[in-house]
Amino acid sequence: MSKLQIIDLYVSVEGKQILKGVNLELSTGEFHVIMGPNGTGKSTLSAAIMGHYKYTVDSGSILLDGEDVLKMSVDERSRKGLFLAMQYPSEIEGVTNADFIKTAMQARLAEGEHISLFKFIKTLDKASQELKMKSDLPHRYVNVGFSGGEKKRNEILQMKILKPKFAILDEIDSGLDVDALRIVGENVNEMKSSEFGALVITHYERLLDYIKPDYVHILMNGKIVKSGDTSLIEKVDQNGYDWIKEELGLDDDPITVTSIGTCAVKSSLAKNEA
Amino acid sequence: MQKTIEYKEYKGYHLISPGTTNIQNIKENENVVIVQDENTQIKNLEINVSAGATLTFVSYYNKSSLSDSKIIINLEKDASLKMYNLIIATNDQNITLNADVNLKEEHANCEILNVYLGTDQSLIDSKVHAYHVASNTNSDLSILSIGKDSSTVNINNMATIKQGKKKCVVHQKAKGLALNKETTIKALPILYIDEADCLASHASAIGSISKDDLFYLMSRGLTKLDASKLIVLGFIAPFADKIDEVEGLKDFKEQILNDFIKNLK
Repeated sequence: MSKLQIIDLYVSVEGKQILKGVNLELSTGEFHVIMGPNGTGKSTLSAAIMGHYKYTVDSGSILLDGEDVLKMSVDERSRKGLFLAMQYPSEIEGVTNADFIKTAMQARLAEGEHISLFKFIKTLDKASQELKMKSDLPHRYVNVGFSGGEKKRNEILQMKILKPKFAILDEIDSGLDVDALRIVGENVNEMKSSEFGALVITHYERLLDYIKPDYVHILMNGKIVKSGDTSLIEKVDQNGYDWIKEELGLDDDPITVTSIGTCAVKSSLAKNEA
Repeated sequence: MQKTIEYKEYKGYHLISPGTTNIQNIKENENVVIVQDENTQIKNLEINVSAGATLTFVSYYNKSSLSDSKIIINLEKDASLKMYNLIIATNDQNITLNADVNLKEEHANCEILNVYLGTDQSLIDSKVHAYHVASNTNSDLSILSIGKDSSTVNINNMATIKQGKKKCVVHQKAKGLALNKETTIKALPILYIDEADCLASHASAIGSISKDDLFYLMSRGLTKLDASKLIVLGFIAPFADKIDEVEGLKDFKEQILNDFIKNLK
């Protein structure tokens, strides 16, 4: 069993602090869901765990089985067992899905070891069939010309093949139609085991018809303000987030008003009128 | 004066003997593939492609320091040229590729796709000019250039459409990928057009490897070096695809791409 601990995490992006003391502990065999209004730091949390270059960890720590994740490079985090299914995966011209996934599998092997072509094709075929993906997938360039749904399935395909200890699924349900949502949800659910846990970030209840969470957390104003079981999802679905704000006496983040200059049109109109 | 050149057979393809000036003729409706590797490079070359003939010209410049070299290709009616050049310049090499394609008669067409890799303090100067001296002629020129260390790559893409030569189609594209801050890639697309009835476009884009793309690949466990390598190979994939289309060049392609990868490190 593995453990991912996020302790008192403060994260900034472009000088603005978004996460203000997040605490969370996940074990393999558990599915955690994070919900929250727009702009409260859900994607910031997932990017910071994976080590995205735009996000700065101001303080706090992330530990994977006791090891300091923040000291690891992005690729090291992946090889140690973290996986981020992205909301907007990159499109990489000229690089085929097969070459990319094969290189990622190879990266997990010891020096001198090589992945057998037969094993690779078999693994890729099996995973693509389970996700009901088109057969031309290996030859297509990574996410180039993929529909929204295909991109999300491609993320889950990589997750199935790379077998991480913990996956962070950042709004994996956006852009999916009902059938694709079911296929993705079922595939994630099937991975649940003593070797695999997930942190699911979502806005919608419908994904959770397929992915059964053990814990639900509400992220607001850069902090986890409430944790509970699935009954929390129903409550949010019916009543939104205002009741939590009221219950906990939370204010909205203050908005800083900044002048970006004088409106040229407005001043010239004023001159004409004079 | 025309001089007949002795062809050598090389894995089923014609190789041109090294020399100073070679003028060759490709007969009507012939389909000729010329492969030029670092052992068979010549300084000046002129090829006349007769009516209805097709010339596929693949060359790889690596070891030799070419300067003042010139390739002239003349295309007659319905003649077709496919030209794919790979240049790798290392150390303080100075490589000049100077090619003129004369689209002399109607329905002549050419497609040129070149890949340049400059490393160390090398200099690559590329001057490719398509002269549309007949109506209804097409040219399509793409250059993919990668710069590394303190190298310099100059890309001059040129096309001329003479007055009264109607319905010509000209496309030019130059893409540059700078792998570090010290390298210089310059792209200069030039269209000399003296005729309104034509279709012409040019595009240039020079940049570095996208940080988001690197993050994406690295988030799947690829080291920065492996991820960069994959992105660069992806960048030149259109060239590899074109070589694949030429039958029997599998070994040649592997050899030149291996050299390319070696020089990326």
